[in-house]
Amino acid sequence: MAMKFEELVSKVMKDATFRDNLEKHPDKALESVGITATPELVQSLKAVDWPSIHKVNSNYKAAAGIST
Amino acid sequence: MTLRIDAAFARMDARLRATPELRRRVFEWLARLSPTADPADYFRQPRTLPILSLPEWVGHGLGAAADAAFYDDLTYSTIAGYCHIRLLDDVMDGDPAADPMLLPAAGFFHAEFQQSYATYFEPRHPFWEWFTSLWFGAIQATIADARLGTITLEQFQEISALKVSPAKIPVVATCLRHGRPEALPARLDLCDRLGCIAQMTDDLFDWQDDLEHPGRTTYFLSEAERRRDRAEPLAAWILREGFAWGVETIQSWYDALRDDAAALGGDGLARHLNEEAAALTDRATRLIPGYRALASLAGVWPG
Repeated sequence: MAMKFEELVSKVMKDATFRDNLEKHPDKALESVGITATPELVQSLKAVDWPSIHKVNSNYKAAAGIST
Repeated sequence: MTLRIDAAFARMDARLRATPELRRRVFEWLARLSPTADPADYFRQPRTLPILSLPEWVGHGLGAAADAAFYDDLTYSTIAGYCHIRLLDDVMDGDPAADPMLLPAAGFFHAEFQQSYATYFEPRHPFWEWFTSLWFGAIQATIADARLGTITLEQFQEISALKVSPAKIPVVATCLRHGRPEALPARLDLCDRLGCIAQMTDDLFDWQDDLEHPGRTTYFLSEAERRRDRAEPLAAWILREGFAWGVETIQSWYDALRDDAAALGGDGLARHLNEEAAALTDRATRLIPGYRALASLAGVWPG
């Protein structure tokens, strides 16, 4: 079964190796989760604002630490 | 407030000296909660819901004379009450930081929480009716929260008010100690509104964790389900616009509270609201560009 979008988001947020591979080696990263690397998908992945996504991970950890 | 927290921990340490094994376990547990080796630092962190500072701010707002011993007692009581609730919650949730062997400490915390008020209110004083109904409110909230499949704004406000109800006890004590029962409705409403802000902030920043646990229901995720396009994954709506919607919603609640803050909680509350609202904007500003970048993948992702 293909990885759902929610699962992709979770993996990108929590798995730094997968996140790096999805940016730099999208074909391999997609294959590792059973997704066919179509040209459209690979092109979309290359066009993504990756620096902002990498920042989400560290900022999310900091933000999640807030005390209520 | 730092001095009152220091005094509270010194008092807790002194009270636990008669039971050294319990003392060791309690302070080890508190140290695990704390961001530093000092257990008291857990309570020195800025909080969206300022449970320790609020009673004194309310006292200032009432124009009451300074009463250091009273607020020291409230600080100690509130820390003990918080520890009681946190300990039971963590043990029930299976949190690795909370060893079930710590459960006997719940009795100590509850006794210390309640006993502080006995100095100020006789057994038949109306304070104790407030105490009982507010203390039971949190239990009712847990049950109400668990049975709902989706949560409306009205239900969210109702549940948040119940969850924050133990924090209202020192606020009630402050109003009654200063002979101002007529001031209570507006101060309890303030607690409810602060509780909504704190709960929504929690739910907003925990959205991903909540989404990964199917049994969990929050107002934010319920709203995401209502607002998303039917063909759009729920996470995609949150990343694309939902998170920003949540931030704007909380900011609108801060804005509405600011108008009443000085009258209800003096300068301390007004400053707190400004600082917390700015901190929320700062944290959100750092997350939103990355969220929107991730959302751009939703349209092409085959899942």
